[in-house]
Amino acid sequence: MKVGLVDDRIIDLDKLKAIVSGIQGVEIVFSTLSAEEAYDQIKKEEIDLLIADIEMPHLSGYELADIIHTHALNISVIFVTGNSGYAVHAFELNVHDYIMKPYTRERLVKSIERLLEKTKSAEIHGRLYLKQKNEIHILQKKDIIFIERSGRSTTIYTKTGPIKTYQTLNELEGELRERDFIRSHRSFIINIHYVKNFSLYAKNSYIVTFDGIDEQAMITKEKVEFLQENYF
Amino acid sequence: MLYWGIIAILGVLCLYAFLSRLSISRKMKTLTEENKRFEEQRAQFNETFRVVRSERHDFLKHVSAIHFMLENGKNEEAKHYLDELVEGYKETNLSIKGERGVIAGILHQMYRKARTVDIDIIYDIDLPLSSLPLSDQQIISLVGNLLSNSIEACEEWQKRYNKQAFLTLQFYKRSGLYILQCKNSTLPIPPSILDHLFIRSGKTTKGDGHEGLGTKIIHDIVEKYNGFLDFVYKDEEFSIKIKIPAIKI
Repeated sequence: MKVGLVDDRIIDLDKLKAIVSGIQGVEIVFSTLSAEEAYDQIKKEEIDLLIADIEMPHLSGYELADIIHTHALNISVIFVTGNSGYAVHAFELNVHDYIMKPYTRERLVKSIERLLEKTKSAEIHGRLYLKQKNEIHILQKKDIIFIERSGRSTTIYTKTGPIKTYQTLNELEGELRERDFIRSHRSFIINIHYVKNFSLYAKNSYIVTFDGIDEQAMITKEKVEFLQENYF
Repeated sequence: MLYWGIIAILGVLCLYAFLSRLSISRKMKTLTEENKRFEEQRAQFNETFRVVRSERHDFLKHVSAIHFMLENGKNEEAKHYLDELVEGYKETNLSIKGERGVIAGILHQMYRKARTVDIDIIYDIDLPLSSLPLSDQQIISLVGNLLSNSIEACEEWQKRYNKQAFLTLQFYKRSGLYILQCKNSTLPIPPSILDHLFIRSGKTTKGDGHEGLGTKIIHDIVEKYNGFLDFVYKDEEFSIKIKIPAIKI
């Protein structure tokens, strides 16, 4: 998890740095005394978590969180502050945690660990090259929602629309070795990242609905169990 | 012959009467237990409602108090007053946000129980527990048993070490799975108990009068909904993770 730290007091920033750098699986991308610099960094959207003081000159931690919230950036926020008066805003902004100074190491570590627990999913990198007659289609693997085999063709449903191919599911399964892709059913490969709900279809299978599209896939009961046992 | 026939019929009738009495008394027992549970829930529900009502009732008074302080230039005092007020609201807000009444009741009651014995309790709830595809009754059994076991473990730990114990309840959804995780401080758990935890009732670290039923109930609910339960004990920390598939009915 990539973290950014901002506190206008050097002693507080050093404390944050010392604690955060000791947590496994966490990398500090920036650590700054200036809220403006933090703002520039946030815009790049390279961090997963911002730990910020609230009361800072020119730009407050609350305003930083507000920017993240209004732009729907995928960045969690932990406030570390000496003032509890902002707690009300924290409710509205869906801040992950609100820690009062002075705080213990344990308190901050536990909070970050809770966040790590929730966001434990590997980002999918890489592209998939699809050979179509005389052209090659390139798509980002992370944009694939699910793949369905029907008849003699295969449809790949992506965030930007469906793509047809004649490659078989077995061939595609070989290309999509990432953990988040599972062969949920004889005729389907799904990206678990987009799964929203299941609904009972038959005794041993469920219909899968996804975030972002109306099309549905199937999953067997065993694969739901597999998902529960091996993921998260 | 007729005599034996009558005796036999009478015998069968007696047996039938005895069996039906037995089943009625069993039913009575479960109904009484259920009734007791409902009573408890109603009390929790009423208590939460009372807290929310009193917060609302006092709202105007607080506003006018702050107004008065501000008008008289007592900014610092007003700020302090507001801080304390917010702290109180935060506590209630944690438990009632988006929840159905009875579930807010149990969450709030457990939170208060933990705070009274000074446990560092944190609810980290991404979406309402009420969204679990379980009946209210079962959500209450699940969460109630989880939290009360954790609170008891924390209390024992605090007694032994004279330090503050922690308890966190996390709830979030990933890939069509609801994930409920409860972590707490605990005194070492003997392997003989760990081995059978959540499988059998009757094994307990608690004193007389406890049947170790709570963990069995949790296990049964999870199983009924095709969920998955896993727990880890390490370095005086107990963590249980429950996954329940989001199945729409």
